[in-house]
Amino acid sequence: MTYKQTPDNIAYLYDGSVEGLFTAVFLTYAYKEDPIDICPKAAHQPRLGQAVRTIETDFALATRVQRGICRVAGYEVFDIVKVAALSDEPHTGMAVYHFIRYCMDARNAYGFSHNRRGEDALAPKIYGAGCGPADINTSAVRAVLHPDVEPVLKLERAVQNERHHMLEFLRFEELVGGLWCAKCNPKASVVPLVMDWFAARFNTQPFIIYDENHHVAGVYEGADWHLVCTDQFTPPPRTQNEEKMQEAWKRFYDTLAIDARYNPELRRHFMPKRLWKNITEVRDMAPAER
Amino acid sequence: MDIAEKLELLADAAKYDVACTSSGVDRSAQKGKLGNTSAAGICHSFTADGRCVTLLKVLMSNACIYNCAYCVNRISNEGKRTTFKPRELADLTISFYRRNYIEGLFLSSGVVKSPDFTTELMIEALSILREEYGFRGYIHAKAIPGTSPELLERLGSLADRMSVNLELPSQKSLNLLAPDKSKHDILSPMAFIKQGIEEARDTRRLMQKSKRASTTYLSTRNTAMAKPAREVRQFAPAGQSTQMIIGATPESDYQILNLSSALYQTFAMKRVFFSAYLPVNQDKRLPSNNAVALDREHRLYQADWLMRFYGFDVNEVIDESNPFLDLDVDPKANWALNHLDFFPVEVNKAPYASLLRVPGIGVRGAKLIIRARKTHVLREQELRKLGIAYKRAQFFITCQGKYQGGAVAFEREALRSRLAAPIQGGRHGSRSAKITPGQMSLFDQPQAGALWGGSPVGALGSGPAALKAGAA
Repeated sequence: MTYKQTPDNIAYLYDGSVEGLFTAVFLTYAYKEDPIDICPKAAHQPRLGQAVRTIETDFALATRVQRGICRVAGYEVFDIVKVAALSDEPHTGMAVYHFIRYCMDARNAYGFSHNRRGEDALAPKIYGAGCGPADINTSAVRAVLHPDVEPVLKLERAVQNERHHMLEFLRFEELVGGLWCAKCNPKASVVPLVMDWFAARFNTQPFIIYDENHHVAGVYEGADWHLVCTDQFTPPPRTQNEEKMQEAWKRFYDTLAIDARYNPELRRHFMPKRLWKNITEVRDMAPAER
Repeated sequence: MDIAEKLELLADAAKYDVACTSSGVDRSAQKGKLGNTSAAGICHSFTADGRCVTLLKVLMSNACIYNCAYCVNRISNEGKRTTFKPRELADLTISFYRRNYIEGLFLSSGVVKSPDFTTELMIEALSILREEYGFRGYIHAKAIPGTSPELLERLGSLADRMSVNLELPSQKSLNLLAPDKSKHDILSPMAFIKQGIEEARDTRRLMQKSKRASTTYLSTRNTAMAKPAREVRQFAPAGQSTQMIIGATPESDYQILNLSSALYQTFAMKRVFFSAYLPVNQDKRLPSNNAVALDREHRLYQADWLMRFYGFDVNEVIDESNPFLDLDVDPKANWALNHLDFFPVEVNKAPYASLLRVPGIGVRGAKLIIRARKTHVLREQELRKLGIAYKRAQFFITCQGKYQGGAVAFEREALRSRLAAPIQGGRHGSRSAKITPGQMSLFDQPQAGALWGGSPVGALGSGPAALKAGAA
């Protein structure tokens, strides 16, 4: 770490949301501290003699962090940070914190394409000041092996993979009243990342995607979508046609397997068993919950 | 017959078709219409044998007038015959799509009455989907050999991908096993589709040009010309593919790979699929042994990838003197073993094309190396961090001039033993009966022994013979 010789023995605890994490990062600058732990309240394990700061999520501060990263490194790099911050891995907070410090450090930032004067004079006009797309060779993530950069790129890739699992395996059910609903249990809070995709695809069809692990629901009403944090989710009953379609789909799925090629390891590799309880055709075979 | 039962019958008949991809075309969503597509394709489920389910893969009908030896739907087979009503099929597709079960429809068919009649049925189903329901998801349509060009043109304007099955790798085999089909019947629709795709592309390009011009010189004539640009539907924008059956007839890998390479070149194929022959019929024209050619199929696909993504020429992958791919070593490692003078490659300097030739470095790995070495010196630790298969790559690279292979002699046989890797066929099913050669067992295995002739042999000494035995 270039910014301080010895970090302070302080833990910053946030509420687990991306905005909370960005608020925490902002406050490290405000307090001039370099904490050794930044993690969600629920996941914190105190160290010996460690002081604790509990962070109140503040959208205004989080937005300032967003603007700062966009100004120095471009919005594409901010997108990487945002996606990585959705991960459930215990080191997410620290990885994101170190990466933002790395971006904002003047000595590093000087080399980023966004701080070079005159080289790309058109970009600010098109995208707004300091907000052009980053060139991969001069962007903040060009040093793929840098100890502050590599963990964030790894996290981002893992979250994107989980997002892709949701695109593949979400199963919508038609409920009484014309609403469509899908439940999922991803290991990163990816619902905000899939809403655009499904809203465009289903278009006029209103739907809800509920994340059981993070207690977040994405709600689309036919025009715009928004996120709702909720502990309780009791959907209306399924329609009659829904039961019929699920049965037809299950039958279709079972028919497709070729016995002579039976290879359950391969199936498990592509379709992890932890997701089975929410996948219509394999729900019956899902491992029992502990 | 209720719809679920019909679906089961017609899906069962279609499941031996290998292609189930939704790739090759990006189509964004449109207000008020259902669906979009993504060029990378999205799988939606995986069957118990690990194959992906992307599309609703069904036959329009399983009633067929032909008698191809390898096919479950041939006329001489007994079994229930049924046909989808076009609207029934369109409704089912929409219902499944709304539930995120599928990316779209894969429609093939047995030949009912005549190829033209069958294609008309398919066109009716697809036009309900596209024109009445405004469906923007993926559609893969199979062209039936012998269909008239006018109908093919209409089918291609509704579908994203078209395919014609090559069925078997040579005319001789075709004559033997599929006497109703001829090489000409199969190749002429392929040529027609290729031409259609090219014409549609050129037309669209011209249209877009005139559209662009109209923004500069806003004349009524130009805007009138620009209008149809939106209405001209592409012709099979995701290209065409084909498939052939491996192992039913005696063609060598050399012949098959040369054929597929020629198909990529002459017909601009997007994919050539291989399908390991699985016996579904009793027929004295077919090979009687039950051994599954799955391992061979696996190696053929590896070779296919080398040709499509790694810049290999077909002559580099296989040659006439060794007409079959090595089952113990993958084709890329095999090339490296035969061209040791090309190695070792310096990872900190070598160009992209040379990095791609190193076993253990793939397309993603090579790109990452190029990016990472601008800021870092690459050594073992860095390469491992980038996700390179270092265990394999180390014998073929130097890092800052230092050879990474350690004490292993840099010669064919020594390296070959390090790179040999049996294909993972899973612990169940037909490929699980393998026993690693040379592995000692303390106990006799009467159950396993029964598989190859009843003699109670242990694993020791079974060797390559056991490898080929497979399951009964």
